[in-house]
Amino acid sequence: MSGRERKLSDVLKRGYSDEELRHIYELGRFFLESGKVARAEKVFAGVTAVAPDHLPSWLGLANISILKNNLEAARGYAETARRVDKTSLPAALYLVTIMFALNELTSVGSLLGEVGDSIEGKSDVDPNLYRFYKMQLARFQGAITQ
Amino acid sequence: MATKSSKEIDAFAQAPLTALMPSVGSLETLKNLKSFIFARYEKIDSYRQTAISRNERVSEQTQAELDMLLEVLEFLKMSPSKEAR
Repeated sequence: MSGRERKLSDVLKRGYSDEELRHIYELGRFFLESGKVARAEKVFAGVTAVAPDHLPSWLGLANISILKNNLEAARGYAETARRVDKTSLPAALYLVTIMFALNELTSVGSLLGEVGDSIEGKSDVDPNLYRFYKMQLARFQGAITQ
Repeated sequence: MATKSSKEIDAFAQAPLTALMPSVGSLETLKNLKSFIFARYEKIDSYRQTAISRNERVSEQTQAELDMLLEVLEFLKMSPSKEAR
């Protein structure tokens, strides 16, 4: 099989290019930031329907499920995001948040260890991601010393 | 560690989980996709109408895509007829 065939199949996802999906996803993110949760959910669900490997949209669905306090659904979406890319740090941190809420501290510690190994000592880490990691780490340390 | 603009820090303070979601697209560019989005909507809605006329079930995938396209069209101020919903 040629590389060109693989590339085309990667780019064309049921009629959408990667670029088109990125801009549609951005609308979902905009709706979420604007508090239009139901509209954001429709956008993210649509993107994952046509492109099941669109990791940011799975995070969007996990985010909305957390907002709705539907933690099992949130876990499912975040785990799907991790399956799409097992090295995704945002997906790992989403799972950390959900596991905390489910009081699964062993899993929280394991995930935080993975994230820490990936970002500690590096200078090019997204500041939001680093800050979120530090917050969750402090929370975890507080939880296990209680 | 270097910090980014105060605008991003504010976004994080307001909604940390949302701030973790990557920003990978542009709403301005989305506006340039009107023709594509509308054509895609018409095509998928046509599938849906055909399925309904044959008493076939409309798949969840198809419905999810249609719902997404309707949201995009509404944002682009290009709402199709309500009947299509």
